[in-house]
Amino acid sequence: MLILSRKVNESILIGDEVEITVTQVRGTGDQAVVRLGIKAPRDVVVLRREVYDEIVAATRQAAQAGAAADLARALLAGEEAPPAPGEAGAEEDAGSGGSGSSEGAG
Amino acid sequence: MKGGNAAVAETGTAKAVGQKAGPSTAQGEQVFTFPQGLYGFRELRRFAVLTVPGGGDVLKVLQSLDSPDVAFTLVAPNPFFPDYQPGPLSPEQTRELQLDAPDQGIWMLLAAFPDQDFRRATVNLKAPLVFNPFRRLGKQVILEGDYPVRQPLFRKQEAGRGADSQPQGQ
Repeated sequence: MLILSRKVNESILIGDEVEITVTQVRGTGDQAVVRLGIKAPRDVVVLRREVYDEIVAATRQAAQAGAAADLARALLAGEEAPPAPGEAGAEEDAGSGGSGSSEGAG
Repeated sequence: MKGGNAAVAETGTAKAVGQKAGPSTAQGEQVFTFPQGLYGFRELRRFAVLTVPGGGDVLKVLQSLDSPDVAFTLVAPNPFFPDYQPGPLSPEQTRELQLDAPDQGIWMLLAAFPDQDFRRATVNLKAPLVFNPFRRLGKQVILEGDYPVRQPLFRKQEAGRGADSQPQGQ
């Protein structure tokens, strides 16, 4: 990692279009807080690291569509938060398997 | 003379996602390209938008065609969060999605299911997906502003935030 020292009101450029300026330094040691001003084109995403990490984590957590069919069934039934937790084994097709489920009864 | 600007008539509804989108596979899938992938999945570019039985336009599945294990549940924001207004897109985003106008994208939310329990479903309001169903392009956008990353989909959950560790039933 490149490490530079800057004073208040000094800045660094990243490429031609991104400029980061130190605007204020408060406190010392672990309590120090640095305020930065950032100039960047609109298509450059500027995020606090923890926000980015949270979005990555949430997106990874979403990467399993397993409950989609359950959710669709619940929405179809018009229920907001239906009772009766489903058995762990019966997720895909079973639903509320009452009596016969033959499709092509002929 | 730009002919056939059918896109204009269709904007603003979740209907268009996965329905009006050009060629489809034998199963009726609509293939979308995410030129930049999704956050945490930068390398995955091609996805099929699948219908879910009973899901209509509100619920879709976004299945990676590059990695079969990766699939997302998409939820249309409007039925759940009528006041949610993510747009309009920036000029750069509009160009990237090849949209004619910044308000023509179709928004969908990524849903997550803690413990595979759909009743605890949350959606990401901070980083939704936006689609151009006509060009079959998609993008995950991080919104400015204070949107929750894990917003409960069902209201009943909101009261019991701290009760996560309490197993329900039995």
